Amino acid sequence: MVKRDLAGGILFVLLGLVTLKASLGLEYYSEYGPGPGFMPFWLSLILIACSLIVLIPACKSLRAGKGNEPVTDEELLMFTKPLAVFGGLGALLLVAILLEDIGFVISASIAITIYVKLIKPEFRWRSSVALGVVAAIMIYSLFSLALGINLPRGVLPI
Amino acid sequence: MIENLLIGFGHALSPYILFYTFMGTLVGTAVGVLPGLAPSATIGILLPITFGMDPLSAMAMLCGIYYGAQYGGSTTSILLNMPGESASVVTCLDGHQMAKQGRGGVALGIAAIGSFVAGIVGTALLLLLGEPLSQAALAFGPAEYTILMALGLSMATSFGGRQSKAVIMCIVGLLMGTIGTDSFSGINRFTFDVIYLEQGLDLVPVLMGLFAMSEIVSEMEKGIVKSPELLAVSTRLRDLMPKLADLKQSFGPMLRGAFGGFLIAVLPGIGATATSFMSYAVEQKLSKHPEEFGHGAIEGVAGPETANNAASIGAMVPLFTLGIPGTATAAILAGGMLMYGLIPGPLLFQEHTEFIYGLIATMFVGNVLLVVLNLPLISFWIKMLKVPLHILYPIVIGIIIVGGYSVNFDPLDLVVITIFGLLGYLANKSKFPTAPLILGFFLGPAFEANVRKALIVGRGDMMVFLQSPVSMVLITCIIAVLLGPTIVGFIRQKNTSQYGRTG
Repeated sequence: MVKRDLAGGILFVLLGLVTLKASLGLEYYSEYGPGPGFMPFWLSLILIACSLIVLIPACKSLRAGKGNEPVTDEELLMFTKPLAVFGGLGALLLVAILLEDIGFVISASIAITIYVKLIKPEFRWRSSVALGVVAAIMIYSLFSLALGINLPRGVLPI
Repeated sequence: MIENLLIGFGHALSPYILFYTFMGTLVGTAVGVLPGLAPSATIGILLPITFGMDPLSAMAMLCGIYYGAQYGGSTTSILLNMPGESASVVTCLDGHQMAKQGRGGVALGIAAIGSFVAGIVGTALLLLLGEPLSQAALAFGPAEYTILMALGLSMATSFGGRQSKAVIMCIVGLLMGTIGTDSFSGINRFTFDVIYLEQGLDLVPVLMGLFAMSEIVSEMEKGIVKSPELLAVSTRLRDLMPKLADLKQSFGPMLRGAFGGFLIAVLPGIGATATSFMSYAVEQKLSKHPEEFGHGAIEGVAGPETANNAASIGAMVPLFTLGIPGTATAAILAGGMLMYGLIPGPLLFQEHTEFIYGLIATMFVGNVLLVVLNLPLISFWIKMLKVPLHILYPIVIGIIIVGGYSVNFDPLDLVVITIFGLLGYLANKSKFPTAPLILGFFLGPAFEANVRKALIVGRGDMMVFLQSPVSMVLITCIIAVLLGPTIVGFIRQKNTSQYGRTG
């Protein structure tokens, strides 16, 4: 936890510095009242201050040698299966790239198949693909045909 | 008011709206029963899909999901010792013990009755409080509104986890709200010449990423939980009906849960989960036999289950009357209302009387539907628990693709979902709470607009925020909220070091 606080603290201080720098480029006060830079300026300052409140104790505990305790809470274990996390997110990214070119049914079938395999690797490929295609067609029919939401057709005629 | 309510019921009972209320409660119960799918995430996923519907049926459905989930959540807590959603965690303590002692049916029954009592009391209170509060809010100027929003935001940071982390997330949310073209000056802020960002980030993809995607990948990582052992429970209606003695014992806890849960949840930032824990603690204190708690005390089910349901309705009060959502779920509903062209806030009661009273009426109807759904259909919900994860999550991801894409019909929104999915995952694992971020992000633009308007009125003098007595009271509250937990924590630390740890 100490290391994560440290990483988070550093990240948010940096974010605060970036937004502070950017807000200084905006007008702080205009003719009639606060300008576009007013809010971001103060928010950045508060962000930096609060991040330091998290960062400084984390630094102290790290120096006291408390940084290497293993995470005991099962809920907080991170990246035990990187494939599941990045595969899951990657599949969605893949859909974002493919969606408008090849259409909803094919790209969603791919994503759903990937998810089935990620969650249950021992599930056979043939069944996973079948599940993906059937689920994608069902979702497409429900939302596009029944509820009238315009989903990209892509290369398929439906 | 009565007249408005009657018109509201007229809308709520029309077949079209009744159907969507029913769908909402059905989906809500399912989401409540299934562990790993939070009501907030579900509402976020389904929000874009409702854009084509008329506002009342859409909101009736989405609200139905919210309070329906509180009903459903108790089922798995009692039968499996596995809370379906966070507000039912505390129900596990006594509910599961009751099931082990063969009183599972009674526990399920009392949970459903408690939820129903809460639903009716909560909706009635919402009806009574709504109009007067919104009238009072109409008198507020930009300075008072600024302070009020600041109070709402600071309360949202003060529950659960370290407050400094919550404040950070809230500020990040506010900063995210400044992305895009500034409405006062027309200048682009933080857009880095990306055209997509000029409109500002959309609420829906952000929360789909933060709440739904992060949760799904995190559950996928944990892997398939072995099929949990179901306690055999008789789901015949006769066995679900609590005995008169049970009802007598539960009467007090239910009443306290319904009123207490509602009133506490009216304060922004305190959601159903916190109130259920508070109710449990109160019932244990008041009980004549506190030693039974944790070993199947019926009060330990009746109180929290009533409180969490009342709280889910109480959380609507600040949203409908002040336009300030108190919980992440309320912020999502608020985002939905904005998209239907309804601005959440005091004017709802003046300008959209039919909508707001219709919605309140659907809540009455929905709560009746839920009792009907829950008592006889419990065996069906238990069967649904057996849907394997490798079927459930892939289908959910399919629906996320539909929802995410149909916000603006722009695949870039799916990229935003992915990015915030990863950020949400990292934040959850590092105990940086994501709810304050969503609240800050939602309120950000209105907050900034009010600050700037107030300063224009006050000709740049910061004292404008301190001029009215209302502001002074609110500022005192903000200070108490921001510093209170630190002081309480300090005192508690002192006490534990003096007397040693108990319990």
